[in-house]
Amino acid sequence: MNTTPPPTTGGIPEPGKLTITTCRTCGLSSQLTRGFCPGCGGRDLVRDGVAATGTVVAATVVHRAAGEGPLGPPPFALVLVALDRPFANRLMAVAPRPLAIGTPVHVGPLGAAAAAPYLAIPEPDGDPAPSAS
Amino acid sequence: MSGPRPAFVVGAGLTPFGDRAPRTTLDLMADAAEAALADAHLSRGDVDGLLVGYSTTFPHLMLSTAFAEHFGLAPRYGHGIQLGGATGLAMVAAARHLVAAGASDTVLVVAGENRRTGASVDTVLSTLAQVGDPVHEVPNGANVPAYYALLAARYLHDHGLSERDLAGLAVLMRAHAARYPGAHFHEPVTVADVMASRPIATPLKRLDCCPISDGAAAIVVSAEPAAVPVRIAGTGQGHTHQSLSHAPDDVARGARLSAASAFEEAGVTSDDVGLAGVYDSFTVTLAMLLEATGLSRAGRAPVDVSDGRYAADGRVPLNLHGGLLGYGHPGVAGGMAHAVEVFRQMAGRSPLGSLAPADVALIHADGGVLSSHVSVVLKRDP
Repeated sequence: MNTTPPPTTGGIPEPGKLTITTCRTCGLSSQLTRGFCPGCGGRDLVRDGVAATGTVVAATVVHRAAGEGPLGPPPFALVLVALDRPFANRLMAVAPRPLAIGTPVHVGPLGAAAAAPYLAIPEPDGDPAPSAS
Repeated sequence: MSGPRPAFVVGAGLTPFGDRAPRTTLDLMADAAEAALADAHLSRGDVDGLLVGYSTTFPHLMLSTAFAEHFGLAPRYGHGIQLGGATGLAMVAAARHLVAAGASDTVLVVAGENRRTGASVDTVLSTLAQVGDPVHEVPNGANVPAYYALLAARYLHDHGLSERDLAGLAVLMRAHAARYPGAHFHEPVTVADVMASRPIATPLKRLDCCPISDGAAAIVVSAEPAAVPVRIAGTGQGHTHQSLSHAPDDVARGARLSAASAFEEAGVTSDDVGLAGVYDSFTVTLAMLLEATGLSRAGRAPVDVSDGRYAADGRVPLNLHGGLLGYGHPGVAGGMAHAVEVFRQMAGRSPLGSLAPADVALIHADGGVLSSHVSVVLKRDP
């Protein structure tokens, strides 16, 4: 297990680069590392570490959990992010504070562990107008 | 006659839900099975097919055989099924297929679990969280209420609705449960109660979420109709994803596919439905499934509830036993309880009396995070 603490900026950790696997046969991209493309079954894959950006498409604050969240005990913010690039799926990520739907974020792994959580950090001045909901 | 044999629901059993200690998984399953066979006027020797749902507190490799030995059955066909919250209806649909194919004449479908008293809340949360992606979702501290909270946040955002709108669905389920013998919750609640309940995962609060219960349910499916023939007229399924991260943009598309298949096979539409049992693990689950199955228009389930459409005297009486939110949720049996009360209404055997004498009913359940869906259309034949 990697115990190196993630880099921080002013006390808030920063996400690492997101490793993206792209299928050279069908073009599907995802963060999955399965050795085959879940879209077409192809095995001609290329992996690349990118600084990923996206938009919050759903958000919650978890108050009841079976243990601590990656950033500390509940309550903690959890979001679903749609990346700004063709991507097979969305990323679920923790956030340092509650974020509204529509918030632009950058997102990547929190630490270097094999099953690291994901961290979404709002872009500076990126919060949309407060929503009615 | 030509074509597949028709299959009928001929009996149902439902234990009280709640704290049932010291009853075990097998104890509870036996209680429900005995009640269902008595309801069907059948004996153990009549059962030639056995389908059982999983139990998280008793994760046996061969639960159907273990239950057959425990209860005293020697079926010619039997196995377990796992499909999360949709397991119960998947078993009812499979029982119908077995009867239709002539593989069985009388299938006992049964599930039970002491989920409330046989495990801690943290253990249940951790076990159920695994319906999400164990590598890409669970490490974020996510669990089932959090997955559905993300769905709820998006649902409210898309339709311009508020938490108060969802609260009305919990109020309706608790009102129905308050009248139903054996329910986990007997006390009705108000919108103010729901709004004041503690946050679980915003926008979902405690009373937007079903409880964790002990309990069991059983249903008998047969080639021979009972005195009032309640026929399994159509079934459908839809499986679009496992984890929420991989859900389609139309996140409830599986429910649309599933209901459409069941309606088509039964030769009816959602407009013909006069009674419904729809899975309600959370208020948002119920709202989204009512809309995806066509019982309500998009974004209209909450206003339909407040307009009385789903009340006992409404156009489509819904979850008259109180649903998961009111009758309770012990796992697979929770998703079967909807089918039990729908059958009881159609057969004239409900403890409530015949509140909803409908000839066409829809039962629908989902497993995972709107991941897998099963729909069943029941018809009362003339």
